Amino acid sequence: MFCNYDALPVRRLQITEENLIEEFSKGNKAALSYIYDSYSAALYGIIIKIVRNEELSQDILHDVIIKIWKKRNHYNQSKGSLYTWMLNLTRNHCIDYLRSKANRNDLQNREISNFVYSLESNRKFDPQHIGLNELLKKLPEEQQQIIQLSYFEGYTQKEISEDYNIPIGTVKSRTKAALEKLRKIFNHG
Amino acid sequence: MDIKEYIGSGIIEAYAVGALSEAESQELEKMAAAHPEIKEVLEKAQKTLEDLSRAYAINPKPEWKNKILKAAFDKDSAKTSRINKAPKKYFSPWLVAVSIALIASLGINVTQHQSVERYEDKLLKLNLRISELEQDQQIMVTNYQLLEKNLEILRDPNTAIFAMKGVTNRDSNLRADVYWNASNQKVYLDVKKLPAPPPDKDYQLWALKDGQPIDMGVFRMLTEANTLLEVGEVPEAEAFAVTLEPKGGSVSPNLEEMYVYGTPLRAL
Repeated sequence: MFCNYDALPVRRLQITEENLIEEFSKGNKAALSYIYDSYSAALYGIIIKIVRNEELSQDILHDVIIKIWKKRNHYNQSKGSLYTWMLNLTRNHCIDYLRSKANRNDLQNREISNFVYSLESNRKFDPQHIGLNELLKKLPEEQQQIIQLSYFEGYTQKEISEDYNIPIGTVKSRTKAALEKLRKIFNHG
Repeated sequence: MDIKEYIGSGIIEAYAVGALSEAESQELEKMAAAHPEIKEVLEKAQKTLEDLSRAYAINPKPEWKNKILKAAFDKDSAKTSRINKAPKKYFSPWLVAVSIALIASLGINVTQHQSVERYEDKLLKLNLRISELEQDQQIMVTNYQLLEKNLEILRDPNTAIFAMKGVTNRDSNLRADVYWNASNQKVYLDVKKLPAPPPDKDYQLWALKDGQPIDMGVFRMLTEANTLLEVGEVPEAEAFAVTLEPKGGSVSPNLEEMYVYGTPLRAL
């Protein structure tokens, strides 16, 4: 028999990396506040990278945070980290938004990258950020293209294969090579 | 299917960047759940994309936070109030107090013509405060119930107290008491002073009957525990003792490592 005192609630819980997921799933409001503080910059950065319009990005960040909170019971830890889940939710939201907008405007689905690039000039970019932003450029061009199309524009491998006339096997192997190269870059600074 | 070939194909990475169809994704998730090697490669790919995303981070304007969180929580309460139509029987005194404070502060603010943003800000903070207070209250209720249960055990006329004190070669101030209830035979332990056990050891409690030790299990102490610990049942005992044993406990006590020992304070 083993007795443990750990379960006794002796003081109010502080949200930490360790209890974040549990408290988030339970609907503890402090957990969303913690998530916002820790991840909103990364999510906002991805939104801007995908939709390329600051005003729109603000609205999308708003919607995405609400969605994260609303779908908190859908997060399944066995499928990946909370951050990965939020990133994918954010990417999908942006891509869906742009596609429906593109459809409404009677544009071709794929012309989203032509949307106005209107970042405010007063935004505080730190130099490190600019350096990292060029990160994809460290990859061979054909790998950059695959990551751009799939991760940031929502193409499936089949669409990339058909639209760009690349065999599906090559799309996969380039994706793998791209991620391996990126991983080396992160691990070696 | 050859796992090595599967991993080498790049399909895991294609999944990570979102390039698989719905059906292909489900298939991959099944594979990842079934094969740890695949799961490992997937986690590496996801980690790389997390790092990549962090590289694009841009801080949103600080003033957005409250507005966004408020919108999220508002939607939430709208949803739950629709589901939860039954009126609550109790109003938490905290809720009432905070609500009164909120109403009062709203009233004052209206006369001062403060901006809507300010109210939203305050509402959000009060909402967070309410949930903190609700948590505090929950903790107090739980602690209260615990204390009530402890008192009940101590006051029970069938409870015998065994004051276990430091044995001859130990610090005489060591103390751990056992409360044994003769009617339901339950044993409760109250550790008052024992040195922290080394990481590879556990304290183990023994009941002694006709000179024979009966294993009552190992226990772990945390400084924050101010409660009786229910450790099991024993039909009868003349004394209790605590020894230090290898992690997980032993079949019979190591008498060299006995720390405290005690017989009943008074007969029932």
